[in-house]
Amino acid sequence: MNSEDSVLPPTSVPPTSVPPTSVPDDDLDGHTMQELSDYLDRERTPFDASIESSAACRLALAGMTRLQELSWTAMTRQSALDPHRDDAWITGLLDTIKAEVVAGRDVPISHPDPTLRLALTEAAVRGMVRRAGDTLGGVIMGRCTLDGDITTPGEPIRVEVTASLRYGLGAGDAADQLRERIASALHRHTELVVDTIDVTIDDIYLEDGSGS
Amino acid sequence: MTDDDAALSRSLTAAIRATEGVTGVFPAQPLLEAAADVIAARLALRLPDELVDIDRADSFTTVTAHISTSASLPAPETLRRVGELVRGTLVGAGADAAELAVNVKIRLIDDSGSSAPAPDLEDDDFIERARRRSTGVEGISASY
Repeated sequence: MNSEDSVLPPTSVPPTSVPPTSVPDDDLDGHTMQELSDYLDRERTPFDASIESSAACRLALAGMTRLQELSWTAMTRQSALDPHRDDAWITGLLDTIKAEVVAGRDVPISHPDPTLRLALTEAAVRGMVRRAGDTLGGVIMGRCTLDGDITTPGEPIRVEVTASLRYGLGAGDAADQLRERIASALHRHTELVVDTIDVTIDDIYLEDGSGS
Repeated sequence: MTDDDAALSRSLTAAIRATEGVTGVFPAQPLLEAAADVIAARLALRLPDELVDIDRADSFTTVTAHISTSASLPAPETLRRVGELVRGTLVGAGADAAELAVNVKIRLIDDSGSSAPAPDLEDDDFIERARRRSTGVEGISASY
């Protein structure tokens, strides 16, 4: 927390309350992003089995947790003071997380025994890509798109991601590092043939977490 | 699911959970449907921990498992290990390998190391939340 945050008056909203997202709330196995946010605020206690046993909720929680670690508190407190400035950015990030937890297509994994049909969901792959970026440092992942026929082994695909970059970091270097981490993660955990990884830095955020 | 298949599902669920690289097993059917199962389980119609789905049509058996895996191991390695475990268990139990399909899907690659537990049927709050969220479940509940 920076010095500006420390003198902020208490706000009427919970530290990590989320603005309404534009994605319908019916694809989180019956839960809403606000419920997940509240659950995170309670440090995932008391244990909620209906959340913890939902893959979609767990993926959303993972993304929200990393966002929280990346100064989400600061972002939302800024929003409470000036709701119009950063709401759109935060809402956009949460919308993206939510949209990407839908299972999506199957990404096959080969096995010599034809009776075994093995796969990862597209959401699991996107979650992994998101983690590769969010843990880089100085980067907050935006949208992740797997473009191409990911359901057919050997078909080359294109990965397209957007990201926000911390003010002061070099966009070129960050994009190269991000590309390298995503390629490494995809190579380790999938059999996808990645043709290109396109990185677009579409926003700059300040140290206190507010978007520009 | 027959009693035998229910027992097999419990056995497979436990075995998959214990497999290296697996951090959890998710219900193989949609969660709302699973929530209905929880209600049914509460009414002793179906037991918990049957997260692996076993479907028999004619003489063909399809087994489906949804899992989360640890990011510390390559996902394909864990996936193959689980698939071979399930297939081996079924063939060992007398299934005809030519009439068998095993579907294993990774829903989440987990870097937290935490597991995805089975619903706790002693948790009254969970039961109530599941009941409220499940479309039509009230009707199901009322019909028993």
